[in-house]
Amino acid sequence: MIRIFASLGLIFLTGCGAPTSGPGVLSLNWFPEAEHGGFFQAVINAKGEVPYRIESGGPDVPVLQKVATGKSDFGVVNADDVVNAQSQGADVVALMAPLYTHPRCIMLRKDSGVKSIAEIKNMTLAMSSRPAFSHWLQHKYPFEGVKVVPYPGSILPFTQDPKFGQQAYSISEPFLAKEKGVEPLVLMVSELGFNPYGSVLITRRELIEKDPERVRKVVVASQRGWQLYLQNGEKAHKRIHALNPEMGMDILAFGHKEMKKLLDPRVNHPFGTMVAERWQTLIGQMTECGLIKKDKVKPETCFTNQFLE
Amino acid sequence: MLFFWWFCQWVFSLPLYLLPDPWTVLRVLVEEWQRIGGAMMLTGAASVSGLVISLLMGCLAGLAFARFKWLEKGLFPYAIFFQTVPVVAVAPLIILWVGHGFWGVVAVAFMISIFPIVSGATLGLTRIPAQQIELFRLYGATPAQTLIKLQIPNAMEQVLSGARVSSGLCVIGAIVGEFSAGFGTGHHGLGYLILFSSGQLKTPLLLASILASTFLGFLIFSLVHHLGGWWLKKQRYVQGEELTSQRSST
Amino acid sequence: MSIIKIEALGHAYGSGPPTLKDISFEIQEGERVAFVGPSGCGKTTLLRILAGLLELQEGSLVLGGQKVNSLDSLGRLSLVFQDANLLPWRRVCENIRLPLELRGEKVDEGVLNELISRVNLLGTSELYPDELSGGMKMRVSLARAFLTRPDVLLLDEPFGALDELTREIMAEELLRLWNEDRPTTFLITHDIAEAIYLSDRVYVMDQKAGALKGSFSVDEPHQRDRAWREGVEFLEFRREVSASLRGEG
Repeated sequence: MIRIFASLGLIFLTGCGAPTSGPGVLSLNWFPEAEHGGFFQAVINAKGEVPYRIESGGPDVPVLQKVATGKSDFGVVNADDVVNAQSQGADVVALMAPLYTHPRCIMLRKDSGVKSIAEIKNMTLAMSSRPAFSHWLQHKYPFEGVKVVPYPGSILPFTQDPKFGQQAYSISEPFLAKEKGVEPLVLMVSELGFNPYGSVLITRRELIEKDPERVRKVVVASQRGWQLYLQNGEKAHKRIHALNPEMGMDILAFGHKEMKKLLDPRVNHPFGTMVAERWQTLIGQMTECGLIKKDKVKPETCFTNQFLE
Repeated sequence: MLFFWWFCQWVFSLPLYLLPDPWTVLRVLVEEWQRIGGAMMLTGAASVSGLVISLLMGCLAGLAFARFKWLEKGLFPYAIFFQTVPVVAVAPLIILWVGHGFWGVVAVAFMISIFPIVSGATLGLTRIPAQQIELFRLYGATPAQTLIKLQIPNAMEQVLSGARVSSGLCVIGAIVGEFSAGFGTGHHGLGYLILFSSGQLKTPLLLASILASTFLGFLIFSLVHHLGGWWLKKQRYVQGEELTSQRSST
Repeated sequence: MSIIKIEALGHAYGSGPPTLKDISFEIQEGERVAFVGPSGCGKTTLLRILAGLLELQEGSLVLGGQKVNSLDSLGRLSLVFQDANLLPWRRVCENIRLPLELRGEKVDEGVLNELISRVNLLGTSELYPDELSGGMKMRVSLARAFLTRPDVLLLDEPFGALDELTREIMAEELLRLWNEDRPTTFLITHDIAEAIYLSDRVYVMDQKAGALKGSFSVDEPHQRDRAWREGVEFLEFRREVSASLRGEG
């Protein structure tokens, strides 16, 4: 809710999109978590100037608006956010996608007896209306007798009702469920067909055109950061935990392990490479479930691999 | 005001995703009128339900507090809790107890609306002109008679005062309540629209939804204020001329 | 006819100085007494003790040999307040019938309407208090007091807020109403002429001691009228009471 007023408040702060000297800001799309690990590692790695100053996000931080207006030079979002931005005239471009497979999943309880998405009937499913995936899921699956309710923001209802399923990230909530003694069943939304790139690094097109060298440095530093992070996440985790104490070292370690399943299986591409087809599919899916108008967004405007090494 | 808005948008060349101009928002309002209208009705129904329930319960609580002083001393501090606790934080907890769906939303709308009613009722029932109390004592009125014939008529004005405040709050409650409770699969109120449009960067729709919410709140407030005010004046539960710059008619 | 004895009545509000000190007098049933005195001399306090609205702190009320707490032991008691004290949300007729309603007694519509016309309020019974003038409100208040056919009538500066002409008219009406059942009457007023006109005995109260400092019997005539009021005798009474009030003689 505050995000709404924060972005409206940005109105009076625009006009100062003048480039500042020194590292720009990287706005995260949530509180620091394992999915941001590589970016933290890039900052830790830096000898001399850091590539960016990391700014935590949260439920009400308007990352897209900040990056589009130049308030932040860089941001971390999901691919469907980029498509939305483009459809609304916010010219942000994806530069690098560390997570080839999106961690989004539907988490059910093993004791619900449900084994696949098609079997989800007569139960409660908690999903947020804010991201695109929930609209796509409801468009694709009949979900007979399913009560779709808002995302609860905590794992409590899940632990109390066997007939309760919710959206989750495969690198996070399953750990919490197990901790509370509930065996989770994880259904990856990517396997069902909806798979936007995850933890995507973005910037505004203006910056790419005005200062490509700077963008290149940032992209490369982020790639290196991710590659190091994937080998050993300890340092990054310490930093993340310090900024977000709710993320314990144990859940971060769990996320780190699970993340390995989400990486690009192809080895002969630069880290974080994106493919036009994936963007095309995503655009098509979002059009299909009525989120964006037909032909409003072209895949080539959404991303560029030009800075990847 | 509209002009100022349009002017700002034009002068600063603000992009649509940040602040759309009034015409875009208007266009969206018209294009999506079914969606927005339906949402307004749903949120409106939940708001009014919450308001009505809080009126009933609030007046009952006020009556109980007025009749039993010890009850007031013991429970009134908890009533204040309803006022001060941030609804956004407590709404998820309420949903855990009440459940999702329409009545979950109503529960949150009720929670945010109840205190001004309780406060108004309690105050109105106990602040009676001393002379009127003496009048009733003089002629041997029982506590029940005093309650019904003296305290309740006296309290009407204060209750309406509280109801005016609650009428604006109940819409906020219904919207925030929907964030946590939802109206059920496929049923979307203004809360849903606000979340959805802000998450999808559909700023024109967001503003249209916010405008619709404001209008809804205004509508309910007007109803309470004018209907309530008219009836109270007619029944003489409220006296006095309104202080205006014009000369009075007498 | 019982004798009502008021013996050594005293009262103080909280821990302040006494408002009343050692008030003693006697009155017969059916008699009318008036109290005059400057503001703050305790007249209203006295009245409220007699009505039972204030606690009897010092002294006693004795009725036919028996100690009582207030004068409603004599029978039905009515009080006319300084301002009409009507309930604003009730119409004239509803305000008048309030005491009987509270007592759970049936109201005879015929009697009610007759009373309304006797106080010259014919045609107003459906009006609300905010549609009435000050004088009209006071008449409603009187009607309310008389509908219950009281045995004891207490009046606390009933005509104080009215203009002189209205006051005289109201005084006449009060006399007429009183003549029906002749309740024992206690009247408080700051208007000496009114006190004399409407009572059988006038007591003068002293501000400093909260005590009675004089009494004047107004025995004759029983038929009071304008002529008498403008006569020499009346004037003489006035001078005497006035002098007493000022502390002379």
